[in-house]
Amino acid sequence: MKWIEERLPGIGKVAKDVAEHPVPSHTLNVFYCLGGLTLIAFIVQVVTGVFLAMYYKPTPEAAYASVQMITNEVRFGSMMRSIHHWAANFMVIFCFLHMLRVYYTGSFKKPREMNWVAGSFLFILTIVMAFTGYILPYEQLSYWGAVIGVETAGSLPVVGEMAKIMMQGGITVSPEMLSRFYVLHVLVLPAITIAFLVAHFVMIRVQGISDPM
Amino acid sequence: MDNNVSRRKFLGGLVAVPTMAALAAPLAAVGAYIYPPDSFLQPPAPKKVGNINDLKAWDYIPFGYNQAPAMVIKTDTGDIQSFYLKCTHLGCTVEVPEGNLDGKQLVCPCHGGYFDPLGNNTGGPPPTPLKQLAVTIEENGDIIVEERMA
Ligand code: HEM
Ligand code: FES
Repeated sequence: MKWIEERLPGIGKVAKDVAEHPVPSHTLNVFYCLGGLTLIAFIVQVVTGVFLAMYYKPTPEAAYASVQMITNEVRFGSMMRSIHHWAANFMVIFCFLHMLRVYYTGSFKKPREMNWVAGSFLFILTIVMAFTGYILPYEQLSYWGAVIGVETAGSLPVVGEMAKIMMQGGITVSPEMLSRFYVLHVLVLPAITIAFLVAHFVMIRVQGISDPM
Repeated sequence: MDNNVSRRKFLGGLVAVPTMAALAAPLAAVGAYIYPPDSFLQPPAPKKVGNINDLKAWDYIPFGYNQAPAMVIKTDTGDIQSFYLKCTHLGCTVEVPEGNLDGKQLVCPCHGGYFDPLGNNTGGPPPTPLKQLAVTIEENGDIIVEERMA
């Protein structure tokens, strides 16, 4: 500790501030844990996702087989997949319940409007990560799930056709679609989510948790 | 005239406009990069799917084209019509009864959409008729279908 303090003076105080920040007693309640549970689920996803990405192959020919390989041959592969699968489901559920808690306690009101908006983006990101992850095993459900998602986007007025072509990577479903969803799922969306999480937590620190009802 | 724009503000504006433009250009390039290249946007080649002389009125031939199921049908005036069997609601495959389609309906199993044998939407959620393919009949009666580009 002293060694670091000598080289980065003041770091000890910052670390202490972060670690020992008191929370108000009315938040010692399971409903106020939902945001934290969502964060834990997200961290689990990042860690297990990195491991899955080591064996997963994002092409229409190889995707399904590589997922079968992870499940049946890789040591602890089926466990890794199951954790990623279940934490994804729990992340969506926790995130939604957390949003309900914030709504029910009226915590979205002044001065926390911006954090509500940041949270809304986090909710959308969570849903889109779940959707893009669903296509990756490239089984029947994945494929048709993606088709339904693409067709739904395609039914939007004005921008629909463009959105559809962008998602499919062509005028019909094409092998490009898997690459696109893969890049979104493992790179783009988690990066944006982390940026929004940082903003979310900074705002919570600055504004504090809302008072009891 | 009041000279109330300070030199600093004026120069700031002068610099800001080209800066914005310089930042917008790469953004436009990125958008164009993500949009699939033209070679990915070409319609597939025309396809021969059968011969008109093999069909009686309201007989049909199912086939696959452009990664989607489709069919051709002969009407009672001897015309050939062709359309995709991809539901115009949310894209499920529309089911076609076996055999002759005289007086029959096509049904989409997903949400109960109904179409007549010419692909017109007659009930349920589908908002428009099934998407048509262009048909040409060769001299020997061969039926050639082709994507209709808008
Ligand atoms: C990835 C998803 C999310 C994570 C990891 C997350 C995390 C957190 C955490 C740890 C807290 C501290 C209080 C608590 O845990 O209840 C919090 C508070 C808050 N969250 Fe989220 N959140 C997420 C999504 C959302 C969503 C979808 C909304 C609403 C649209 C939202 C709005 C808020 C607001 C307004 C607060 C402040 C609440 C207060 O002061 O009482 N968050 N968030
Ligand atoms: S997709 Fe055919 S009725 Fe909904």
